Amino acid sequence: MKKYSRLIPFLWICVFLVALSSSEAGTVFKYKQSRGFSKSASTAPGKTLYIDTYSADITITTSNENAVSVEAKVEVSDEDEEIVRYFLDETQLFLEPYADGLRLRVSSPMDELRKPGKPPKKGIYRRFYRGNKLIIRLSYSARLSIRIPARHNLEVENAYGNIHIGGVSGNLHVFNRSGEVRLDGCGGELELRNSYGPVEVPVFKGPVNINNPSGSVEVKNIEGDVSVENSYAPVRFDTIGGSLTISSNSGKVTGNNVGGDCEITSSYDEIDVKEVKGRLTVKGPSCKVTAKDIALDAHIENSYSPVSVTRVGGILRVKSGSGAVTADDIGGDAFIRSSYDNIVLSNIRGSAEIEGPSSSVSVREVDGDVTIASSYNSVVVDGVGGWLDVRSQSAGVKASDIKKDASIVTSYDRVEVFKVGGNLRVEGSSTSIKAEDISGDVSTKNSYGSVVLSRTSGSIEVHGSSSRIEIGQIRNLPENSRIELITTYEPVILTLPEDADVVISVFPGGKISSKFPVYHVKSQTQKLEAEQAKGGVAVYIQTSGSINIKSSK
Amino acid sequence: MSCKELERYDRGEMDEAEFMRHAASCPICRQALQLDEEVTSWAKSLKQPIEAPHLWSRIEEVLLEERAEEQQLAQEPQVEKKKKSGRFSLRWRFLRIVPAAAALLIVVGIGVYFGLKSSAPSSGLLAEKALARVEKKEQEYMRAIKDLEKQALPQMADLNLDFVFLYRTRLETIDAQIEQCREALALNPANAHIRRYLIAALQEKKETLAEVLNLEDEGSKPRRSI
Repeated sequence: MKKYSRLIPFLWICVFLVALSSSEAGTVFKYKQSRGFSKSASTAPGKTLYIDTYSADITITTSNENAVSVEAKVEVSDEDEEIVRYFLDETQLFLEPYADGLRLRVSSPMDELRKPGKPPKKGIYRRFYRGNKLIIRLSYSARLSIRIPARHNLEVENAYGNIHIGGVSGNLHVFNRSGEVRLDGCGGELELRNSYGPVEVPVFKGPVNINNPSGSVEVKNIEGDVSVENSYAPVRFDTIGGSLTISSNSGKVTGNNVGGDCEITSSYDEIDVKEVKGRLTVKGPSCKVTAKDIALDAHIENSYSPVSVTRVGGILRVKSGSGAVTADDIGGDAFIRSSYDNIVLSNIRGSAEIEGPSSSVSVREVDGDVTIASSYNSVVVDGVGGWLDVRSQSAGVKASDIKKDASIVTSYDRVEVFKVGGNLRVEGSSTSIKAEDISGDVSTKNSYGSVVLSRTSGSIEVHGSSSRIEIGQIRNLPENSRIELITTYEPVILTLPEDADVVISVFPGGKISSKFPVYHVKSQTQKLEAEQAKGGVAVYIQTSGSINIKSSK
Repeated sequence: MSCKELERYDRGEMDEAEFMRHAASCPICRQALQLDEEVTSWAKSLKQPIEAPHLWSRIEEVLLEERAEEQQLAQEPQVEKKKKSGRFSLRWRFLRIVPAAAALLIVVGIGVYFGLKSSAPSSGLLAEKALARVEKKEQEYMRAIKDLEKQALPQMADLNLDFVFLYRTRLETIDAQIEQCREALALNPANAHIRRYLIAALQEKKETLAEVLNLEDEGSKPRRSI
């Protein structure tokens, strides 16, 4: 047995350590007891149950009886067994008539402790004092299980507890702090205030108003308008029958299927909305915004993050600070403002107005007119049902398949235009211009870049400075049309149909080669005289470079 | 199986140094020494109960197993016990650990009585051990927050105004929640629900400060990666 005796000191150490750890600061909870309460009172559908609790987990369900019944369990712990006993003895559950219904509250010595200032240093409260210092080790928790008629109003006030309400229809006002709140299968009208805990409303028949700062919110299958305010936590929604208004701060907002208008405000996170049957309004500074299937208009404001919009029935307005914007399948007009990032529009049934300083712009298939103001990055336009107006700076512009007129102003880069149904006007400092298949008149003004036009069908006016001019494959020269090609230092090459009825005046500075007779003029007067002397399309060419006038079959 | 030297040592007829020399060449005595060491090291581990987070659960497991075995033995019919008496000699060699096991049962029982008994999942109040763990966690967060604040707050001054406003507001909100939880805990220190929310707020503050440190200042483009 001596062998075992060697273990005894260690075993005593065990005992000592356990006892020691049990008597540390945590000994406060040496005594823990609970007490159950049960109350019931008659009520009627349409009346209100007022619940006033603290640190309570509350579950409210329905019953077929016209009564409110409550089962409660209050749990208390302290280092002082007498305090625990006193506390529980003094704790009472009240369910009494109040206003238009009943009031439920838990009354306990904790009420005294929670009052501002110190509790009186007498009676049981003396035990909380160490000298004049108040040291509270008492801890308290309550659980309430409440049953009420299915049609009943509720007004709940609680903090630091979870609330679960199931199957109740009425005016539901729930005010909680730092807890989880969930309403299952309820209806009527909901006003819910909470904080720091998740709020879930999976089904509700009626309007819902939720305010939950620093707490997440999830609302689904709501037959009514929904208003949500929160911050720093996500908001999720699905199938909202009425309108939806979400005001979040730094919270991610996602969801789909809103029956009415949808208005979302957030910041610094993501906003993703799908299937809105009304109008969509999004204000999301620094938010990535995605919107799909918006039946009416969509109005989106953000900054610094991308915006992606697909299928909008009405007008689209996007105002972004410097985020990429992508919009596809817009039923009405599209107004886009962004900068420093890509703007990509496609399939716009109305007109498109784009303002994108330092943005690259790509527009495809617009039924109406297109206006683009941009700079420093490329502009590509393909398929415009109306007219095109591009005002850019230092940007290459490529436009094709424009049904009506096209007007392009840019500089320091190339302009390429293919297939314009109306007139074409291009202005470009230090810009080369290439245009093909222009049904109307062509007017260009440029410098230090070539102008190459082919397959034109109207008048041609090219004013260049140090610009090579090359005109060919003219499809048609209408009776009242005219050709005016003016440049400096660079050659002009003009190819006319061999049967062209033209009167050509040239103001030469260099070598001239022509398959057609030409008049050498040295003034406007001479030019006009030459044009009037013989009918036909007036052609005037002026350059200090060479002139080559060819004919084509 | 036993060893005469071990019996002599147990009777005090052999000193420790001599027994150790013998044990070096005797497998029975080496095994006996090993058992002693195991029990000793277990006891030592209790010196820092908080540092061993799963200690109580391990002890509880041992306790429950021991209890189960005891109950099983107690419920077995007397006849069965008699039958087993034939195997008594086989069990004899295990009896050497019975006193240690019994003592441990007492120790664990005390611990369980004061600690684990009141930490049933259905309780809204923390048991003392759970509270100790939670308080330790809170202190860890506070230390981490203090360290992060030293680095993050000066860095915030260099951020653009949008970010300064964003993070200042967010940190103020979290601080307000921490303060509210602390006030609530001053009147309800073992309330599990409030403790959980305090921990969550501390965690959020730590993460927010870490986020500030990880921010890339983009000058005039306050952009948060999404």
